[in-house]
Amino acid sequence: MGIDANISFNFMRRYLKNNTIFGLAILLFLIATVILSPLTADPTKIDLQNNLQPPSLKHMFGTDNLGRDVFARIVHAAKVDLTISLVIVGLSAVIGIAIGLISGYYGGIIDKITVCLIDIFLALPELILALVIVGALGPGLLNSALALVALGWVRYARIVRGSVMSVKERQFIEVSKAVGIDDFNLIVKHILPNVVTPAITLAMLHLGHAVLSLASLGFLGLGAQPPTPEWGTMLNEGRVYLREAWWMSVFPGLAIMLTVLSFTLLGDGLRDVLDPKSRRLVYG
Amino acid sequence: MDETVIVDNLRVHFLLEDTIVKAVDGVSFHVNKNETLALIGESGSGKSTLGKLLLMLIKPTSGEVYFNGLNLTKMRDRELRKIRQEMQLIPQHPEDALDPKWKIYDSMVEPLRIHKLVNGKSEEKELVYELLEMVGLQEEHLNRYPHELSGGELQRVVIARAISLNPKFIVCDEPTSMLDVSVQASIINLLLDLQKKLGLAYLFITHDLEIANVVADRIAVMHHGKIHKIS
Amino acid sequence: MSNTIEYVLKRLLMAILVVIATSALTFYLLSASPGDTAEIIIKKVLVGEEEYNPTKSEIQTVKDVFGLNDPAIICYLKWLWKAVHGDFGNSYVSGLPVFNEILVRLPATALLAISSTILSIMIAIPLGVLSAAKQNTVVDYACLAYSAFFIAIPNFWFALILILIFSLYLGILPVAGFGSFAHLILPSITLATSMSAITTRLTRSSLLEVLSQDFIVTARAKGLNENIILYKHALRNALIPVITIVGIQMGHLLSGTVIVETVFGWPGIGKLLADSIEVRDIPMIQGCVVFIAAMFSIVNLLVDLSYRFLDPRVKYGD
Repeated sequence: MGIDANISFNFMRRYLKNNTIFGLAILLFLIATVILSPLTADPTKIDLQNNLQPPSLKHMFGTDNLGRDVFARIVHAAKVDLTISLVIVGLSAVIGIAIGLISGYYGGIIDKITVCLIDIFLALPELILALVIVGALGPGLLNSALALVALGWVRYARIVRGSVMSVKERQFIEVSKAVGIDDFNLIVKHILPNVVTPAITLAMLHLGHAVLSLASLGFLGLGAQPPTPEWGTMLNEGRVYLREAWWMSVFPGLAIMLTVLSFTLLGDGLRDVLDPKSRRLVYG
Repeated sequence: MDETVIVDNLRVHFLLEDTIVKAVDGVSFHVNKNETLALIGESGSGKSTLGKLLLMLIKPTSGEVYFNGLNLTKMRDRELRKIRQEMQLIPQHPEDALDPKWKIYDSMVEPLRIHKLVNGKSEEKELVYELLEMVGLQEEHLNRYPHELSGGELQRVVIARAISLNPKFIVCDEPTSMLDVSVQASIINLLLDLQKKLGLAYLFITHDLEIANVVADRIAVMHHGKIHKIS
Repeated sequence: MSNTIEYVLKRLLMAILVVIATSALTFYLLSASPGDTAEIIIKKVLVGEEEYNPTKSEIQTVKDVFGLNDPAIICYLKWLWKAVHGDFGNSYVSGLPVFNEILVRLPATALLAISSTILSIMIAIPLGVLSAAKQNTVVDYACLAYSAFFIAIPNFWFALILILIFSLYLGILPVAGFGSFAHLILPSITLATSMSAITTRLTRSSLLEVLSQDFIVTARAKGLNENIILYKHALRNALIPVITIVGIQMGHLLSGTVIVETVFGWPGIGKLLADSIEVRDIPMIQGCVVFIAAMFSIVNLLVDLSYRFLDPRVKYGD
């Protein structure tokens, strides 16, 4: 059993390693595309003479109903989707980690309220809540991002709070207190570095999830509004022309899939390195 | 005034699953200057809790603790943080007493930085080297992380940290119980040495009567949260 | 036994709290959002023009008719009081009772949810078992790749691809709609594949974990047939955590129905919610969300209980 487990462990490592490299390759490709995006055709230039053209040498991914270059739109949408998702994840992580630290460290009534909020948020399907929030605030990219941050912090708070509860019982915390450290420095300098690892893995998986959620809202017409290029919104426009122009729907979806795949693989790899004991499989 | 620490009728009670646990139940004693009071008792007798109470790491249910004539139990957190310069803790598990994410150097200077006792990098370094020598460590240890040091070395770092603030009183909570026998002796000698040099008072918590006999001027026996006799 | 009852009661109480909190949150968000509710009703529902500029008397009439004169908190409490008695108000759009409308839509969503859950299990368990039994072979990697891809594929896009291939190109299945078995196929496949991606991974990893446990090693040492070990001993234990994932998937499923029902024009609760959000039919949104939250909570509770029932090691009360 010992040798067996060892061999399979090595296999697993190699398998995950290859996956991580694949994920990294996709991500680098995406970043390169975003950097090179000014070189593409103008994504908002309307050319009704040449609308709904199939893919050709001039228009690699064809043109849409208004004659805009689909390839250029996808590349520019990458910029929008990646930046907004990054902002969503960053804000969610900062807010969630802060709340998790405070409620885990101080306990008491603050903690009770936080736990109750976490339970309520996790007891509901995320997209449904996002729909309601965006529905209330009105459609748009900013409101979608706001809704996803309002829901995104919860998982960070939960995971960080749990780790804080165990770390704060450790002896080095007591020793630092005995030396006379104040709460703020104790939390920021000692507790945070010791609880942040699982949150980083979570953030990687959250990135993929954020791209999907943002695109879902866009697809339902609640996200980015035309003419802003955004993958989900493009799919929503393309859906109407599915019969005439398959390329309007196929390519933006491929872009979403590749992006999410990349973040998922990287998240897996990151977890494998940082947090090998954890069994977290997917964001959720 | 010869007493550094005076404890008066100290109690701490926890509520654990509907039953009241009297961890420390009406304890009074004092620790003199330059003296080692050994606190001996089996595990669960409340001796560690008592040690933490003296340092106000746990708040007592009732009773008073005086340190150099000041009533610690009446102090606000801010004042207490200041007074912590003068009383320190050496805990039981050296392998968990230093932040695993911090290099030894940073852990050693943390107390100095908290109380702003040094100006500039060079003064800081000078002090660290001085401390290294006092506790018998080498420069090479400074750049390592706690998991790269042995238990004895770690305990020396913890001691260096504790004395860096020139304290008057140190609670030693079974400082050698997790160490090899050969290392135990050297750590105890170090503590006794430092006591002479720096004029420290110790509350030395242990469950080992032999060690107590070696280090102590007086011995207090604790049982079920009460101190039974002091000799 | 009294422990069990206490636990169930506690969880039920929590579920009720969650549903009430959700309804309050939804109500607050919708009534506090930009734009006067009465004005929006006139613009979006009664006139149907965004640019229409309603007069003061028009607004007042709408307020009287829809009961919008009270402050939001009073409106909410009134709504809550009625809701407890089974009256969820009337839709701004159709004027029909929200509760009835939801009940009418329920069978369609239930049909879709059940068929896609069954289909996803039919895909996931064999793939997961195959993957674990042939660990670190090409078969295993293929199953893992399937799972990785379907976690990454957005279901709204996969739905479009299925329509493209089976409806528009091959012409063998209807593009959208409801009524026959053929209509059910594409929506179910869309939801089932995305659900099966996660379940496959979980089945695989929990089966691998069980296979490395002592009693399996003992069974092997005794010379028991590998297949008997796998199916009779290991799988039964491995399926316990898989049940929890089905509960977690419920949220995924309910979110999924909103999108899939919208794409396929499936007349269920998901589409009802999406449509209501578009026209800001507040009572209807409120009703849908409360209904979905309640369904989700109940399923989670049932899953949790069955999990504890199947695995006697799990204790109540913590």
